[in-house]
Amino acid sequence: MSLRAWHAGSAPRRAGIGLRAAHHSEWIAQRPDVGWFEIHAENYFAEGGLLPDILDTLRRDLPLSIHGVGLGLASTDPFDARHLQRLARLNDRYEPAVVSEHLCWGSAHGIHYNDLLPFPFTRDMLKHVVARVQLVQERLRRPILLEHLSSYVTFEESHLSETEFLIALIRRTGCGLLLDLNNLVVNAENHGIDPEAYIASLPVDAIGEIHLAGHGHYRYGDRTLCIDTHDRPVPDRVWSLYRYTLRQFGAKPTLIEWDAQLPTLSALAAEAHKADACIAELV
Amino acid sequence: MSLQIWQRRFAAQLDAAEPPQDPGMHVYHHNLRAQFRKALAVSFPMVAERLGPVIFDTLAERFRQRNPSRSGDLHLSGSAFPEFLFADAHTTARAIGESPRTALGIDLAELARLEWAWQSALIAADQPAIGATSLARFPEEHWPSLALRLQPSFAVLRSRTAVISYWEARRERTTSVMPAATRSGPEQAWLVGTPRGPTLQRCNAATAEWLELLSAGASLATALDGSTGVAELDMTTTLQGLFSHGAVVSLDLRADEQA
Repeated sequence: MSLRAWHAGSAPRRAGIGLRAAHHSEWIAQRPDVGWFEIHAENYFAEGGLLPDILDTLRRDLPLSIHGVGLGLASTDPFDARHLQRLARLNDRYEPAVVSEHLCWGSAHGIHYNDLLPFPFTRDMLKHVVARVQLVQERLRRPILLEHLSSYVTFEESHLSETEFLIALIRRTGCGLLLDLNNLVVNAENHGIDPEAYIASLPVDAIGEIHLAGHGHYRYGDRTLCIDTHDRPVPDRVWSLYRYTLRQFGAKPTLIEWDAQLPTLSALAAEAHKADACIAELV
Repeated sequence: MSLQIWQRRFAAQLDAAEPPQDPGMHVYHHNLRAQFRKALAVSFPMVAERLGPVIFDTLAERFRQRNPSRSGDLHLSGSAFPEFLFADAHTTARAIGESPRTALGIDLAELARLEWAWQSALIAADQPAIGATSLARFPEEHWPSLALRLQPSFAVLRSRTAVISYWEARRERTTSVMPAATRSGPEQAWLVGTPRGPTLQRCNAATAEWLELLSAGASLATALDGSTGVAELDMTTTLQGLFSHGAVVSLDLRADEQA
């Protein structure tokens, strides 16, 4: 599967926002001026009722990105066949511009932890994830984008860097990368990574989407950690990293991620317009 | 160490009752419980509101320990919550110092069952519905042998307490004042999902019993034979309601029951 096939399905190179249930009525009434919209796959697995009609209506006007949170690409448990089937049904029905998932695991011995759990970057894990990504791409009949994580732990077992792992995964599967700049800022604070060096080491053609979001600081035990909360405006450090990324890679489809303490739809759209202004200024 | 064993060891730290010492692992330990509680409160907003956050969180965690999520879709995790409330009522009452089954005169397990049926109907598949004119395809003398195939989301709700009144009042509320249950039970209703959203229709006890038999596949006549309180059963109005709300998917003639 080539990257060319993936590019044919990419979202517009401007900013989009997430569709959340609290905004359904507002969205249909206002039709915000944004480049595209994103849904969390699991929130729209409905087989009937109002949700499919809402998506049909909005999909007619705007390109759609489907972002999964629950597939568990790195889990060692077998894929949940029903979950994968429902994701494939969403993909077939709505023909999204982009399908993405997280590079994480989420279940063990049949129990799901419903979180984006990190793992050590090893060759064994690379081999495991490559096979699982290939399986998903074959099932969906399209390349997907993978989002690297924000995380709160690191592992001595890792013998590859995260970017080495990602680049190898991209080369072996033809998948693309969803570059989450807030995740990089969170990881910079928690683990001391260098976000600019991380970005500079990535292959430009593989980056299919950028995420921008907010974070907060919370005390756990004797340490304050930076937590990926998606509950507030995009902070200055993330905007500055976005400008750096645009200068490095040019315009990319960009999502304002805001999942908790939701603002009004117009406030969310205004945040997207800030991203559009960065693109207009720098690209 | 295999990847599987590594992940199971990580998971064991999440399952542990006490948060891990490592601050980072503490975050994941916390997230697991917080996300589960949040999803449960979304599925059962009235139960959560009635109990308040402290008691609801305690109950949700007890439920999670016994019924951990089995899907990457956390929305599904509440399916066993109503039965948990039924089965766990006495233990839960001791734990929270209040009986959840008698709060405000309504049975919270019954309220949970109604909330889950509604949530399920919101997302259930809608099969193409047929109208009452479909009956004309069959000679009138065959109607008693007809079985109605109903939408997958169709459910009959029966409560000992005034749960349906409470649920209707809370859905229509315009203020934050919680209404007292205005009627005593028992109450009955049927519920079905439609492309325009679910609908809930009240019915009497005899009709609820008849509908339960119908939804289990009995023909109109067999369901009638199996019902008690036939005198209270308003079959014509109920059938009109089923057809007009899109609850009927097909009519199947039970050849073995034809006269």
